Amino acid sequence: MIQVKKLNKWFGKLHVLKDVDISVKEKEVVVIIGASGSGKSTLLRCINFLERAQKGQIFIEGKEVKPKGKDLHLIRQDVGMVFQHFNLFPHKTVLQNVIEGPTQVKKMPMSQAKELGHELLKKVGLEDKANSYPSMISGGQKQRVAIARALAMQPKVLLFDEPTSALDPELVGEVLVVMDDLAKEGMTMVVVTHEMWFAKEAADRVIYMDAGRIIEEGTPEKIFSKPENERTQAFLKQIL
Amino acid sequence: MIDIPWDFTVIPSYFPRFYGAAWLTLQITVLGILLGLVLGLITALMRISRSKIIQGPALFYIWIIRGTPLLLQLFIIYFGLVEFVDIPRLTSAVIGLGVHNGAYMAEIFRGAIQSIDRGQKEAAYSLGMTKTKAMRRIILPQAFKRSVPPLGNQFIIALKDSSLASAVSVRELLLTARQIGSSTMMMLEMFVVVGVYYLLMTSVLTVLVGKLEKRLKVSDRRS
Amino acid sequence: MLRGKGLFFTIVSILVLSLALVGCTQDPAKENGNDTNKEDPSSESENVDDSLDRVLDAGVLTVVGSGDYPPFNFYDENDNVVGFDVDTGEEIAKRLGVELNYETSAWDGLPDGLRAGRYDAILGSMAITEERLEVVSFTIPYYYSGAQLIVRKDSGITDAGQMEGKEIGVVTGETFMEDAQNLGAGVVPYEGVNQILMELLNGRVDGMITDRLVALNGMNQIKGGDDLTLAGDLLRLEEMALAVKQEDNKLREKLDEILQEMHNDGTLTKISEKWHEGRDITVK
Repeated sequence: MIQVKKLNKWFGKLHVLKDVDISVKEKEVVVIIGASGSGKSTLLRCINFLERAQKGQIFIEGKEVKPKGKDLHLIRQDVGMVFQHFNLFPHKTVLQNVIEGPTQVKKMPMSQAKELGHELLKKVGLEDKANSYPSMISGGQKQRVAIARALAMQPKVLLFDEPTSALDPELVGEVLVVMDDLAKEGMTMVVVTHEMWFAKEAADRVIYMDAGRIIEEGTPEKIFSKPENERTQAFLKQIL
Repeated sequence: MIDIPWDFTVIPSYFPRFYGAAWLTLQITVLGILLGLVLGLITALMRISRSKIIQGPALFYIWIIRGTPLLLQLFIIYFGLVEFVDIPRLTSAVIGLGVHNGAYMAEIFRGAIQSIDRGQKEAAYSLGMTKTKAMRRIILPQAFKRSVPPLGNQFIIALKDSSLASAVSVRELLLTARQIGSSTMMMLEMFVVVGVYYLLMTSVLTVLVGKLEKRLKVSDRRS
Repeated sequence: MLRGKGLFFTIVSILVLSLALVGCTQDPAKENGNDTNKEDPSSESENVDDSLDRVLDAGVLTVVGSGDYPPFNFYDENDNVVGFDVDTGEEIAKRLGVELNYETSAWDGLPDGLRAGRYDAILGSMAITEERLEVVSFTIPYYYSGAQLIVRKDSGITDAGQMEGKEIGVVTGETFMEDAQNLGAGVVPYEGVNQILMELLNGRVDGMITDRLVALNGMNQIKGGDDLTLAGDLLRLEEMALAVKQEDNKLREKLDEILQEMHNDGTLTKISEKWHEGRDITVK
């Protein structure tokens, strides 16, 4: 589904991604962990081209996509993203946020879009907030709306950039539950997170990054119980 | 008791004589603002473009207009433009006012657009929106909302600036005050009349802008 | 900043106040005009007329004109104010034994400036009119001219009667505004003579009314002036004099004396010939 080959990115002189290779199969749930500054968010943002890598290749569904391509917006219809800071549109209601994608980008008729919107809101447990504005709901609720919004585009893969890092601890759970359900339903997901519970519970594969490189990858069981690399071990000691 | 040569008791009776001029002041103000808004928005978008070719004219326009007095601009546009194109007097004056307003409104819009969180753009893009669509649906609406307070201020300035059109034969409040004032030899009294008119108009405008601000804050409420 | 109720009440009060006062029908004509006239004999003992002494003590006679009225008062290439009015002023000052200070300012603000005491006299080709006599006093005339209509040669207009419904440019505050109105034309006010000439040439006004002498001078000077012509005779005769404050009697009397001398001994005629190509404008 997604293949990243020898990706290299610099921010000015700073080399943030060094020869990164990853691949994500359909229906796979891949979790990327690592310290701040390890490049994991940057890697994620390169996959949907919010950041441009200077070297390397990215293949989506077998086709190479160039960072300067003219049809990036078309690719992004298939690669959705959920952000750390939600990025809901404040001037639109919750429902309007969710159907913005389908109506504006896919030209879906309004009635059909509204139906889809209500369905998705129900799925994330927020049907009663359909006509509220983002300013009126909690952080956890905002993130769930963001997930519904991303889902409305029926993407082939969903990227999650530290989706719970900006939430108060008691609100984290409700979001992780939604994400777990999605994983169980077979959505292809790439998740950057610090929430080990999710990694253990839902991930098919865990990737550990440090200083721009992939240090180790494997099943959650392997990584968490028997990490091979010394740096992996050190990191896990810190957070577990 | 100081013997001032002015007769303030006649002031109220002269109010009605300025109705037409007040209406004209309102008209040129509104037209000047509308033209300014259009020019301002276009210029702001050009200003934030990544292409230097597009940025150039926008920067030039803002620099020139903000760097020279309105009166000078009015004279140049009013007396200069007509040598090339056959435009009526009133239109020349309105163009002068509009071009002037535009430069300031451009900076207001630009500031507002650039103040919108980057995440908004990213969210729009990740939904598959093109740059144009994201600008139209997500960025600009939020930027407009943020522009209202400084724009409201600019509107009030525009209303007062309209008085400079008196220098190019537009028979708005100020010129009419001078005309009636000199034919009745009661200049100061007429100035007071016109002062009250301006105060009334700017006050009403302030109230209206305040109402607009309140309306737009609906989506910011916390419950 | 007043908000909500406070602002609302203020606006309403102002509106109500003005409407209420408008309701009282008042005659806008200045019934109180005489208050400014200090020539009340009963108070003469309290108001000493030191107008002449004031000028002599200061050693300067300060007069004012618009500075935009060639060939009477205008700026030359060295940025000095020159012209018929200025030369007349210089001569008057000389005979008074003082210096001349010729200031310039917007035409329609001059009477107020005079009344506020900024100048001793207006010496800028101001015509004697009934309205003006209500607020200032005039010396004897120092020259005569009149209102003249100018049009484009290609307009085919030869007579002022043809101007009905058309648009005439005048300088704000000049007596010619009424002349334009009397012809049934629309009045378009401008800041200065030169601007009106430009607008007449580019066609945005159909005619211009100004002093005949100014017209002749303007048509000579401006580029394209050959396309302009005088239409008809003088619309109205005017007598130009110096304006002083109504209470400055001593000053006015002295100025009258000097002007009469200048008329009699030919000085005024000489100045006139200098500025008006040999014509003597100082006689009716």
